[in-house]
Amino acid sequence: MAGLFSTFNVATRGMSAQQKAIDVTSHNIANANTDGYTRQRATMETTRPFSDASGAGQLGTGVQVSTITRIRDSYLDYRVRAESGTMGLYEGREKFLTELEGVFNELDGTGISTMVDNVFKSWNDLSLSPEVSNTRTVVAQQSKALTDQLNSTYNQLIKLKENSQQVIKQDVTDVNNILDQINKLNQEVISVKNGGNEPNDLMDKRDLLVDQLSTKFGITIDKKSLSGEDLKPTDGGPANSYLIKSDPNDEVRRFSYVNSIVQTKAAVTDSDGNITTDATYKITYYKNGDTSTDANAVNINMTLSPKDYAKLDQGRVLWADSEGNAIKADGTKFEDGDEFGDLEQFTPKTGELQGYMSVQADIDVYIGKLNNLAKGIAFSVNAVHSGQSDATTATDILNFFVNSSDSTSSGETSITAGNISVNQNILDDVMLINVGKDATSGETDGSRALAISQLKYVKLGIQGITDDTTRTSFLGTSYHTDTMAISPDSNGITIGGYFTDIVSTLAIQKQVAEKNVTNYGSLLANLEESRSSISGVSLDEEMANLIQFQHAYQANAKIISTVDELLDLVINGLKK
Amino acid sequence: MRVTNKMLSNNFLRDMNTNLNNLSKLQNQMASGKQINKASDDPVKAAKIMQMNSDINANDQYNANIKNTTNWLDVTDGTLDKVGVAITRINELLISSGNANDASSQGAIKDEINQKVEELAGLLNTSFDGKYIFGGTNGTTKPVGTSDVEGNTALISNGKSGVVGKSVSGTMTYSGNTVSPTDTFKMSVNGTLMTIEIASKITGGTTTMSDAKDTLQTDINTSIAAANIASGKTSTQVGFIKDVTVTATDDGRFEISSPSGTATFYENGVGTTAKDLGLSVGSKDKLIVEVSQGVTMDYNVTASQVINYGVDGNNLMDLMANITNHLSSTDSEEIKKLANEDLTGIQAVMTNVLKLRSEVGAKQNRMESAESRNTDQNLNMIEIRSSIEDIDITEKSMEYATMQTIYLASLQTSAKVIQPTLLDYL
Repeated sequence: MAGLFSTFNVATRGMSAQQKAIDVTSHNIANANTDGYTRQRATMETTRPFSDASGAGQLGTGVQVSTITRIRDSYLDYRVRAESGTMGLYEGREKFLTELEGVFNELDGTGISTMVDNVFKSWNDLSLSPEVSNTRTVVAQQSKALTDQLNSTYNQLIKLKENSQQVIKQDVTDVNNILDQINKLNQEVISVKNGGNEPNDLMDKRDLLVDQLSTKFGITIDKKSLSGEDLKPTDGGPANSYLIKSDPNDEVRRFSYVNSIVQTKAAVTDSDGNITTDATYKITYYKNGDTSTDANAVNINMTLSPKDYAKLDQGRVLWADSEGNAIKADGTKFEDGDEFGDLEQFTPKTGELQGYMSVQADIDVYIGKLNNLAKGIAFSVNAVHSGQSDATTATDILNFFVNSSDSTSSGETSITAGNISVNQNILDDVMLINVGKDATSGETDGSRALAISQLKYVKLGIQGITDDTTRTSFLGTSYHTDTMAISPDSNGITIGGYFTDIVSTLAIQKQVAEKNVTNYGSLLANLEESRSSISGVSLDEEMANLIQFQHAYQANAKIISTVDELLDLVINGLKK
Repeated sequence: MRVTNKMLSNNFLRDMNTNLNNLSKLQNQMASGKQINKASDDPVKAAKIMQMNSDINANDQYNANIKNTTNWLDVTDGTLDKVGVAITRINELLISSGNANDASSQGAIKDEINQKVEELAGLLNTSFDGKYIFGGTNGTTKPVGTSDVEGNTALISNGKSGVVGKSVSGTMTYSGNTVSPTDTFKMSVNGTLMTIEIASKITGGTTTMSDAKDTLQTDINTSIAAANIASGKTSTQVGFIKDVTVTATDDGRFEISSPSGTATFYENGVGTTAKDLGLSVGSKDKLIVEVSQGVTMDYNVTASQVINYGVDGNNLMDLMANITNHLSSTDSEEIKKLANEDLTGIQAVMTNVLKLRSEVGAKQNRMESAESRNTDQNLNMIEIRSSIEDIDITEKSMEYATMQTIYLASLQTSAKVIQPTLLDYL
């Protein structure tokens, strides 16, 4: 009797095992298009065999589904995450470099280089008819168009930089959110595994979030017991740089975002222009990058050298403890009054965040170059126009280009592309433009205007201009009063050439970013394909498996009906 | 390798995207007619194109300059031609004056010569494009004029004296080059030439304009007195030069007015005193034009070049004044001069005018060759730019057709591949 009933049990076990397998198959089919889903397999194994004392040896007792496992290759996961980081970097850069290129739109004939040409052309026209006011008006208006365009380009660059900072802020908030979600999932996985089950779907969700995180910055994962994972960024950080820890009591890190850096006290410079005391700044950062409420704002004051300021301005992301307070290298909270060197800034080497940070550095370089261009134009034209190579020499002749916020001669040193403008007195009365050689030359003498128009081809040392360069240090002794000409600097570059240089550099950078996006894109696609090949759901395969399990189920059911007939024979047929 | 449905559709999507990208790029190129629309398409070519655009732009400017200057030179040449005709006529009249012995024929000659003086003044005041072509850098004022001197028309220079004074702390101070004692310059009034020597120093930047003007007045009147004694004229006789008055104007110029006629000043030899004091008029300054990169040339003839035909200040104004004086006088000595010194003078004037005309002619030739070089360069640069920038429409159309075929092929095959599954057959 035990025999027949145990056969029943074997068949029943068989049926339920096949049914479970069908369940797993239907789960796979249902999730065929789910992002990040790994196909699952029901692993069947035989149940404990039973030792038959009556001689045949061990007798099998059926089947059971031992585990439901995910088919996943963790090496491919590691590769995909590494390449996502690089891809994120170049995508981030390409996004902003495309916008930057649009600002300097040069090839359709309306850009700054055409305007510079037109200005010099108008001076040439003026040199032939200096006695009438229309040629002078053309010069004034063309120059104004150029300065307006320089101003607007400068403003667009600044806005682009601000946009990229907004994106960084958004990323910081996103990263913190993802980290919180991963943490929750991590804890759930550990508790499920603790109970002896395989948390397949939870692990899938966790892996998906980790993949998303890897595009933001490079990450390293330590696998811990019970399928827990510890997560930290690959590149540097404070003493304990773990963002996710399996043990919920351990200290983890988060990120905060520096929203504003405002100068409160100017730097002290000595007579040579070297800085003796750095300027003081008030830095406001928001905990966890959440700017929705001012309660999250924290203000700290510190002195910053110009290099430190640039580093903080372009980076903007700080390491923080789990509440969002900025920390030092040893992990203690950063207090007001601590030095900049102690502040832990997050500086990843790959990923979107690094892409946006590096773009900011590039934008700063282009702003600097544009400022140099503006200063170069202003110095050279002013020098020939007023006949003085020193801006501080008193003269009745007006400066042609001035700093719109400070039109004195000292303001000329702080001309930038954002504030360069044509002297308002000249715009009001164009007859004030100095075109003749000196005060005694006749009204049809346009030789000075001719000298200005010839500046187009003079090589000037524009690359060497800094914030402190004055007209005297720029020209040195190269301006000759008698010929009204500036001797070329053998290491210099023409105004048009310098601007073409700026556009070319930008074009090459963008081309590199574009090509890298394409290359890494195809590399990533290959890796994804490999991953899909292993972990993806193939409907055909699932259907074939379904048939297989269906037949097995039917076969097991047949055994039950056969045993049923046998039992009927035994119970009802042996004794009437 | 195990292939899933998702892989097939992902591949298809990726390839379709690539194809569409290529199609879009080709479409852009064909619509704009240019190979590169943004600098990042090809940075090296983009830099070259920007450079070419700048050069072509500059070339257009030079072309306009050359055309303008050619017109100016043509007008100058035509005017000098007419001046030559007038001078030739005066030459004939002087020769014929040798035959005229009575007052009426002399009078007729004199009338015609007065007319010729007017004609010369008119020709030297020709204007073109709003400027007087013989005006040099003072092109908005007539270089010469006429005045009536004792019934005869005299040629006078019309220019204003130059600005030499500047207001320093409220007082007008002389700001030109310093003029030292023993510096000399020449003055001519009504045909009489005299040398003026500066007695006291006029320092640039220090001497006030009023002090300077007093010095000048004293010095000039000293010379005038000496010239009067040398010519033996007394204050009531014709030909006596009266004292001049020198004023310093508010805008920093010396104005010298002589009741005996207009005073003209020029350099003595190689000195620059007259120019320094702003008195030398009919400025010799050249007008300069740029005809190609870094190449400039001067293109004008000034009135003083026409008028000053020899050394030692021989000038047309004095010559014409002498001629009309000699024709009005009854002294046989003076009348003889008509056929001697005056005739020589007029012939020297003629030679000078011819010399100027040949210079103008040479400049016209230079302009012609500059223009043809400019046109050639323009064509070359446009061709080079086109070869870098523009597309070959045939080639692009072929590429487009090919790309379109590829795109359609990919759509068709992918549609056939990703559709069937095992489910269709179960």
